[in-house]
Amino acid sequence: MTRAPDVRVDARGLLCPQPVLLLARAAKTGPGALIEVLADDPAAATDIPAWCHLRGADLVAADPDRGAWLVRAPA
Amino acid sequence: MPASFTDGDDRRRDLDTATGSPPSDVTRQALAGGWSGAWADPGRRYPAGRRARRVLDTARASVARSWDVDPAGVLFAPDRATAIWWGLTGHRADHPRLVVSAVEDLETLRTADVLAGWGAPLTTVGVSPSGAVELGELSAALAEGGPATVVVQAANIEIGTRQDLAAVRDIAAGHVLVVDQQALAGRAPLAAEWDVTYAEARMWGGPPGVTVVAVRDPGRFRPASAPTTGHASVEQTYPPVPLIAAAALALETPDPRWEATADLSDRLRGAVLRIPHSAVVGEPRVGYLTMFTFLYVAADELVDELARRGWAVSSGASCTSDTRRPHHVLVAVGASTHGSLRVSLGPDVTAGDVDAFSADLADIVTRLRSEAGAADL
Repeated sequence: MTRAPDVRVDARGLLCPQPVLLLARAAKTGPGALIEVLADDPAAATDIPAWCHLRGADLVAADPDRGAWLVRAPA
Repeated sequence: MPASFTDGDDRRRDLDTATGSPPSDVTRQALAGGWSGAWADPGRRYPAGRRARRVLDTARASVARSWDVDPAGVLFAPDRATAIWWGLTGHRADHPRLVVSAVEDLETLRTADVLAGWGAPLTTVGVSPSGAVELGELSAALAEGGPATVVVQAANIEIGTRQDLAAVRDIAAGHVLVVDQQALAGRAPLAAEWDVTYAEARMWGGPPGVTVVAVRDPGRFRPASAPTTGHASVEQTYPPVPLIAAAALALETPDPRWEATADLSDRLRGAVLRIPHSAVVGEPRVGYLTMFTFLYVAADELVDELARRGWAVSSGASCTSDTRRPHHVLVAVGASTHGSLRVSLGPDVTAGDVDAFSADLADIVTRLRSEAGAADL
């Protein structure tokens, strides 16, 4: 993760679908923004990349072991 | 007659046939006769035992015709777990290595893990986003190491993806191919590419308690003894002959209306995919089954709300409440796991039912999203 994110979504302690919901909310608020998502629900490791694919967002980096993802929101 | 499972409304609102079909009329009639005529232990030499033996042999011959295999290769297991155990260990003397697709059912994957713990080298083969076994990966797995027992289902019971078994058979030439046909049996033509195959009778309207196992080369088939009982034989002691006879009879009389479920599933997808942020997982699919995902909705809430309106559906076991772990098949294909809904149609479902269900579903998804503050996303 080379550059600092514009927004951070802390979804730790929240269960699916909350992490994806918060990510979608952040993406809507800031089109094109670089969003860091923190989540510890095991489903997040599948659901965040799947959300990016379905919504046309760019998954910049994924570190499921640390529970961190970097997403570029659709413009 | 009790109204429960024979009730027409129940059947028309049963959109969870992938879990099992209710016993057919043929099954219920056969069971009634079987319990009076063929209740005895077919291993006994007195008249009641011999009568049971004749009924069992007739059932075996009937299944052999349906599944196109020698009667000596037809076995009856008490449950799926036993059938899987037999399948994965039956040829292990000559084919000790296990190569298993990542989308086999949980029981199969757990059994493979147990055998790996016993020292069987285990390779898991991944799938594409559509759920198809990666054939290149399968080739690579088989290229190294000795003869393997290869485990690939004919179709996936969660997302419906059919595997290209002709290609798998080619790649796995010289290896033992074990094919789970749970998703096809009684509902679509069975695959012919297998050395060992099995399916539960309840999938074709037979009774619970019978899983048919077919083996091409029964002479070499020697399953390991079960870890719980130490029982090593593939002959059950005192098998439930009335159940087996009913299962065989139900297999002889498939319901031709299953064919229509493919068109109804198309109709269903056409309506449901109009819901925003919905998607279908799995391709190419068995005709009767569709796995949908809806963003920002919890699957369990969706299933409960639909149940309140009388619909029986399954969440595809995603986000199972006991582990909080998403369903392994959805993970393997990289699908969105949280709002997953498996809709599996049956022969009694009509176009009107599909339309009513689609309308209820759209309604509920909209409301749940609104309650979750996701209406504008």
